[in-house]
Amino acid sequence: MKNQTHYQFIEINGVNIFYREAGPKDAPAVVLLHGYPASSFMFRNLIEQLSDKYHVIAADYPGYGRSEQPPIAEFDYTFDNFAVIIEALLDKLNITRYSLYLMDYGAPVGWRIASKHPERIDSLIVQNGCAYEEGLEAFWDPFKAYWKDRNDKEAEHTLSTFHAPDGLKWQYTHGVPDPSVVSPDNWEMDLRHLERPENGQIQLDLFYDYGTNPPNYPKWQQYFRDYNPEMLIVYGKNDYIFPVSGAEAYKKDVVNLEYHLFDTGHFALESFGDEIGATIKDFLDRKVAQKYSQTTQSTQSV
Amino acid sequence: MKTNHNDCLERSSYRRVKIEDIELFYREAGDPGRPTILLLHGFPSSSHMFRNLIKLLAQDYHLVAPDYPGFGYSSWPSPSAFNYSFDHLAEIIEKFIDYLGLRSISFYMQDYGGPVGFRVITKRPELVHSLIIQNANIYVEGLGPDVQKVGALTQAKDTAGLESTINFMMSFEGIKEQYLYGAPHPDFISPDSYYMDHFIFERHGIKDIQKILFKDYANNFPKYPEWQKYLRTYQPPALITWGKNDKIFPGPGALAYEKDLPDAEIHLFDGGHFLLEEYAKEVSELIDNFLQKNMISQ
Repeated sequence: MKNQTHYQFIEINGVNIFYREAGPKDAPAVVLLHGYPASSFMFRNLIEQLSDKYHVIAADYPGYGRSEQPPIAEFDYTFDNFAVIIEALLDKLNITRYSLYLMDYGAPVGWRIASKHPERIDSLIVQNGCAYEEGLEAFWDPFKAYWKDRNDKEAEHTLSTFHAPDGLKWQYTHGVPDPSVVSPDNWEMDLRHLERPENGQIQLDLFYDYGTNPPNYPKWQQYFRDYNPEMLIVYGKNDYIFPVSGAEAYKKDVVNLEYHLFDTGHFALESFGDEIGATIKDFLDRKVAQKYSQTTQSTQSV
Repeated sequence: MKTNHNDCLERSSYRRVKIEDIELFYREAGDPGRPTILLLHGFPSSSHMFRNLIKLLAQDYHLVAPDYPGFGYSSWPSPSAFNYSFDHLAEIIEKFIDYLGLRSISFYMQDYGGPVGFRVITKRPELVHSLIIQNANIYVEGLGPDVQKVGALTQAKDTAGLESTINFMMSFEGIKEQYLYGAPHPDFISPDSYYMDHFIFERHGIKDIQKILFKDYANNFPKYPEWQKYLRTYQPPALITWGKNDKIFPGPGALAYEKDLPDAEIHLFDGGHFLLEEYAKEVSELIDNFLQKNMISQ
């Protein structure tokens, strides 16, 4: 039972945050950052795969999954603030060095943390998460219109359809060669969270705030160039939201890059969880675990 | 018994099939050429309760887990269009088995899975390879405080009391309690379990349907002797894994099987009604050992 996942709550900046935690606490940490409009639920299987050798943490952002959803009037639903919450959570758990898994919304959350604390980063695992303008293709047109004019009701309507039942199911199944392998548990769970009062407005607020991310892209790219972090790309290559162009783009700046595409869509873990999990494990074993054991040995010899 | 096989077959898939007028949802994983385990879920859950067990066994077994009508993702026609009874649920599952052409089945039964499964098994003993019984009761000594309370209320014709009992069992707090009661490590119980059931029970019309089935549950007790006789007569290989702290069907219900199945392999766990939330790995290993041991007789 030693690797069993724990399900816990912790108060961070006045918000009750839910997180899944598994694996030995003295093992290298891997922090999983989820996408929109999902939650740490999307990592339920990956956690089990990694937790024999890694200390895995997956939190739900405020307003997502099991975490508390503070009223809009009392909480800034922004990527800046989500990064603050995650950073504070890691501080509170005394996790000072870690690998980050960045997916979708997890990317702008994680890039904020990594570029602020490069010394804390063991490695970066990017799954359909963006840091380049060229990665924002046609799907992003209504977003760009919304960023330009928040009163653009047509854009707002289009954006709301992404987390309506059909749109949500599309996010999970589009680009998946055999959609019957995608568990309906995903959208059944997400939809109930989205039905909470004010949650629809929270999604719109974050869509609008997503406009703060592209202006940060040059800064994040500079971080890649300055610090040469170890990076693993595991992308669903048929994703319409974050297409392969966004994955390709990392090659311009990231020297220590391992690059894997999978024949699937946005929520790639749902159909290729075993393959992606194995790729991540192999990467972490070589890039992170070995280093940790060397550090331990040299400390012991001193 | 580990050989090369297409690992795509290990992936769970999520399917629907039409049985009578019901769209029956089921999870399936593993190579259909391998031994089949049919997973029959309990109240108030669905095949979702088997999500981890399925992953753990999919490499070596063929797993099939349907949601009964009125549960999980299967359709839930109004009671005017569908007769909700354990007899009828069992008929649907029997038709489902025949639709998929399942043979030589290991029946995994939990809670409601017992009365559904035993109806099928006693009618079609030729389908049975073995039984895996988890907190699914067919003995008087296995009726715990929760069931005895319902019995007392029924005898006293306390309809208000019965109503409030079933309402609690279908409420979020009641569902959560069914998962957490008797679990020594509550933080190992994924909230996905009780939230999923809760979300499903909040759908329009589900609770009315569940009340009908809850009432019909009384029709199971008179069948216990018949099911016990089946066990005595056929002596199917049986693995009994049981959360002994369950207050619906506590440990004595597991031990009672020994009266009719002296060769049954019985394992009591320090756990509750939804044992798999805490002990999926341990149970999957017991199942694997049990089925490997009994494969020769197949």
